[in-house]
Amino acid sequence: MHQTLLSVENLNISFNHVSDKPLKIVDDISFTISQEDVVGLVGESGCGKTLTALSIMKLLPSNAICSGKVLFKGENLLALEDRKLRNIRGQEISMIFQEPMTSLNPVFTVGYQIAEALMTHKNMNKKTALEETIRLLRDVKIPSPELRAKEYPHQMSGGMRQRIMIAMAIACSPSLLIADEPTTALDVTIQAQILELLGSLKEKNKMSILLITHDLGIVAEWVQRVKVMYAGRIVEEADVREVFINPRHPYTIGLFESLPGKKGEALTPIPGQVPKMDELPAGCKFSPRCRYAIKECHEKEPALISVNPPASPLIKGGAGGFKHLSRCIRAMEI
Amino acid sequence: MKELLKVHGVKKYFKVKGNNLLKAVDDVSFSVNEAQIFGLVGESGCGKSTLARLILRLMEPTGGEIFFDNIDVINARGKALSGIRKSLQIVFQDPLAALNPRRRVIDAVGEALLINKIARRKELKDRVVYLLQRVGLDADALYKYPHEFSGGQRQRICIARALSVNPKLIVADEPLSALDVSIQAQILNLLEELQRSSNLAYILITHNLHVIEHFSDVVAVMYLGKIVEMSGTEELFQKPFHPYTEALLSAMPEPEIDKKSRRIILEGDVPSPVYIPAGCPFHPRCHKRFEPCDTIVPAYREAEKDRWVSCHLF
Repeated sequence: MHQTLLSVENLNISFNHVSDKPLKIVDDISFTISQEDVVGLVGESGCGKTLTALSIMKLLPSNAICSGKVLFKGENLLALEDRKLRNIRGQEISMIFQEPMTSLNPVFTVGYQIAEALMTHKNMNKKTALEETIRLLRDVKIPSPELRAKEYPHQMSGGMRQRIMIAMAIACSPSLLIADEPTTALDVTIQAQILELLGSLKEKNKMSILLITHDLGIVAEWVQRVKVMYAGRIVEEADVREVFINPRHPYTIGLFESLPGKKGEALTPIPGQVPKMDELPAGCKFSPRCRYAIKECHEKEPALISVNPPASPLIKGGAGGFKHLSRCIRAMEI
Repeated sequence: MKELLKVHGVKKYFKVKGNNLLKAVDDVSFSVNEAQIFGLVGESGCGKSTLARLILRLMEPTGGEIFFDNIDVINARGKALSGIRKSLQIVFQDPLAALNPRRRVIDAVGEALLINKIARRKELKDRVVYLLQRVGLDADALYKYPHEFSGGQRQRICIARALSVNPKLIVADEPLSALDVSIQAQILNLLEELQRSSNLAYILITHNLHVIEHFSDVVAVMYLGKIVEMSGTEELFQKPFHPYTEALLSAMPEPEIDKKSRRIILEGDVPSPVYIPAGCPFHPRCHKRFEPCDTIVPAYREAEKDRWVSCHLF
């Protein structure tokens, strides 16, 4: 197994709220990412997956109250001073966002925006940085890169803009790439192009990727380890094969049953809706929507427990020794 | 099965900078039967939403004919037009944008009932409550404003509003894409149930092929303003004819482990609809192109029974 690159320990994120008590959005999240690992963070809107990602880069809004540890190569990023952090952002860890148009600066050429990272982090002069930029654009398969480098974001299509974002993110060969819904704004054929590109770049640059998505299709093809989030908590985590073949949390099961299949096969949606963070139910946060809920579920919040030993006969060979965890007291029965 | 909607050779061109023509919808023909679910797929900018607006006459076409229940939609005036408007309703992608933030549910859903004299003011409340119940909402929603609801609930309100005038055909333009996965299934089930109970026909516009496969009877695939393939859903998913359909199906990420099918990666982006390539519009990105493709436009013809395709291979 590869060395641990990033380890998030007991991360909590809260915001000051109208009421006197701060509102907790991300509740006690811990996970690790090893070298060349692809970890998927899955969940519906508002479950805290983007905030978790932003906290790794220490990009949370200033009114956020954050506790816990984010250890990157052994150093706690949350305690690091801004000057040192700047060396890590963009160089060691970089991020691509869902909507490339809002992440690119409309008044600078894309070439300049990529070169800027190289000049800042690699101390390149303008000329070498621009040459390197053109090489990067070629890497992300932009046709006629010399001309495209002189264009502005609005002159490009959505797929192209996302390629520019990727070129910018990999400019300094980071060891960790955080991709927050990188293809959600794109069409399926362009999505396929971008995912293939990310895959080949990952191999080439030996990057680890934290992929945030709500698309279980992308997870199935792409990710090695999955973390399913609900209401700011991790409710299930395991090797991707385990999660798909043998899901052990009612929410994960519900997500799979919500996916449309063949004509005539009935869908079983999860009833109700995601609770608001200031109106979370007592006990298990999923219990009001859960068809397996019993009395205890509504009273005490379950801990993440290991469901490994009896539940893994379907895994052949290299599950990699990852634990299968579920936040459900009936995980073994369902 | 009775034919409900017939679209024949419909075109919509826009004049753009430099006296060029943007061919958003170009010579599209199809028909929808009573209680049929017609799926329309394609990538952004292929003209599917423009086509929807033309059918509802929210836009005037450049050419072609549209008949609804044997009434000429394009030339309808006065009473005939408002009759069509009652039978043809639309549900949009973003329910928050489709609802007036300053109007309560009872006003939003009830307005069409009053205008079309389906209900009198004193029975309005009961009618709206009935409609809300049909879409799975409680009566206490009546006096609330759109911001007080979640995305899924807002889409239910839009569906209730569309249902209020007893339509025969509902055009649903990406009704699920603004919603979370668990909520998408709820709305899909609701649409299905309404179709069965009220004998509704749908034109379902979406880019999500899983939804189409699950839901629709017939599928049409659009590319650059034209239908490139149309066929029964099952046949199309089993064996797509057009190389574009094939690529589209292969590009769908499958939420199943161990099902790594061969993926056809298309080159480049969709060309601008102002400069449509000569010959087959798809040829610059096609993995199966051969000699005639870059010069001769393939005819749109019935390659097999009920399977229409425009490709030189068929």
